Amino acid sequence: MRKVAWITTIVFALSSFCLSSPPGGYPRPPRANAEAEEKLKEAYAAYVQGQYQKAIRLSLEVYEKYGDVEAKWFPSWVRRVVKGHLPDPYNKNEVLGRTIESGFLFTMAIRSTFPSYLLARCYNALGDDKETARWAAELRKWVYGDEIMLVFSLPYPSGYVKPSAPRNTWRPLPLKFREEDYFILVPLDQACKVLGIPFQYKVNPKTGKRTGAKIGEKGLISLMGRPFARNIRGEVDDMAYAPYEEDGVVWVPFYWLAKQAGIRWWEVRNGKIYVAPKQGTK
Amino acid sequence: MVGGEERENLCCAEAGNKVKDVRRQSIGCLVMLAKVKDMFVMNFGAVPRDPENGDWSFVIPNEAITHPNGFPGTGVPGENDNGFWLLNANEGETHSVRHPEVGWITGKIVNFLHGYAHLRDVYAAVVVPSEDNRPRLAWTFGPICNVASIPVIEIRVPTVRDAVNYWNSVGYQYDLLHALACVIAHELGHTILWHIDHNEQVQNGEDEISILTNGDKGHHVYGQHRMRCFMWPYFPPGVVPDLDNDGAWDSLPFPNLPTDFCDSDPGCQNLWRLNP
Repeated sequence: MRKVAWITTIVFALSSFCLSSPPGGYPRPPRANAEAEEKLKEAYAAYVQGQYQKAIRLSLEVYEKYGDVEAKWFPSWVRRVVKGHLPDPYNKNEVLGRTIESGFLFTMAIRSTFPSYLLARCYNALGDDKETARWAAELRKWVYGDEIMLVFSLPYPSGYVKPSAPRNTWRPLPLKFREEDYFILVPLDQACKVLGIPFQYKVNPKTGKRTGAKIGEKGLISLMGRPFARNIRGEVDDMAYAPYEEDGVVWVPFYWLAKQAGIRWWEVRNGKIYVAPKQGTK
Repeated sequence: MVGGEERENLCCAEAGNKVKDVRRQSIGCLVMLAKVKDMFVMNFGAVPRDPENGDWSFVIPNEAITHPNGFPGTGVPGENDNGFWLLNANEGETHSVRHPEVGWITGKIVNFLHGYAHLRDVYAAVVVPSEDNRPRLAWTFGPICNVASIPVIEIRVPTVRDAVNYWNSVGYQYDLLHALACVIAHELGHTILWHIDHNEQVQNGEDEISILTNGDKGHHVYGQHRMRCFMWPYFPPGVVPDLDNDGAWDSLPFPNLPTDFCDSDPGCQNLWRLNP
């Protein structure tokens, strides 16, 4: 374990140097077909939400069947914000063009991933050096020189995984949820109450509509169709899926709220969200 | 005026050697026959993060482009020799202009992906924020002397922020805005030095330290060029990774981020083709 920690530290330190920025135009993985795209979407959501084993399983399925193919998509929340036709996510010129013409940041809303990237990231998060090295080597087909190091320096949306209490000791949260693009979304009011996070809606005095919510003293989320957020320390901590309000209920990605509450281990099982003991509130 | 034409033709002729679409480049040259050009940067990341709730900080702050330490640009052409200047991309009147290839285009004064900026007798680069899965800080599409498309620079702001936070956590005191300015300046350097290869013997990715030795698109080459320049291939400039595998970095970054492109021979400033 100490060795893993040491290697991780070295990789992180080294990787922080390797921030070169060559021009575009280097090879990209081939485009994924519909089946691979859907699995990679699910794998990406699992990775963001800290379900690394699931992300690995799905990524390997795609890799073994189709190779290192790349999926690109616009999350469902984008369709709530942007009226009309969305650009083809695989058409870079169209995405750039619409970003510049419309003012909506399609370049930031777009999601993209491919198996070797997810596998390298997930194995690294799990501390598996052997598999990390294997997939890092695979990544070299698409990653320019020493930039491979950067793959391991970027922070993880749900952090690294450390040993947790056995799953049979985890407890279910009295919290309803919905799944969208494989992200677990929970009602903000209910979730904050269960997780013990103080929050307060922000309301536009002119329209009376909710525009966002303060999370703790310094946190901030938007309900205006943006994934931009600040965590409870007031730091920039954007979400992988934008919150929204529907029929008076505000739906927020659970992984983000869980992180604010100090929860590191959770999963959905038998229709409920389970969290590890002594991790429920902070 | 004539001198300007010759310079522009020289620029595109050199670029044409590097790309297949020579004809398109030539068209670009003809369109850009004009007075000495200004150069501006359109920042499409100048979007408030959450204005409805009081967070007016921009995704890419304009100060990242107008930062005095990031863009003194003594060797960069531009208005009153001040180098690049910022044009707010989301403002401007609506106009119709005739594009030589696609006809009339209507839109905001600079809100065109194709051609319009060049028609205004200026050079323009577009900066957009990105969440692309490439593990990079930023990257550039195309040279500035190409009328067929405005050079677009994508930047991953969170990645720059993470890098700054890391170095500050180990004792450095980098300013995020200055760091963003350096990264954007580096990419702008690519748009201008697109045709410069400092080390043609090294092909992309064929050696283990290719970033340090490649020299493509104006990148500095380890051992040949100054580290204190926007075109150093690593961020922060001055850093050199562990090349000899002895477990130690071969060079740590400078305490202060660079503030300009270099001018020593064969410095970047001597390689500008815009307004030498």
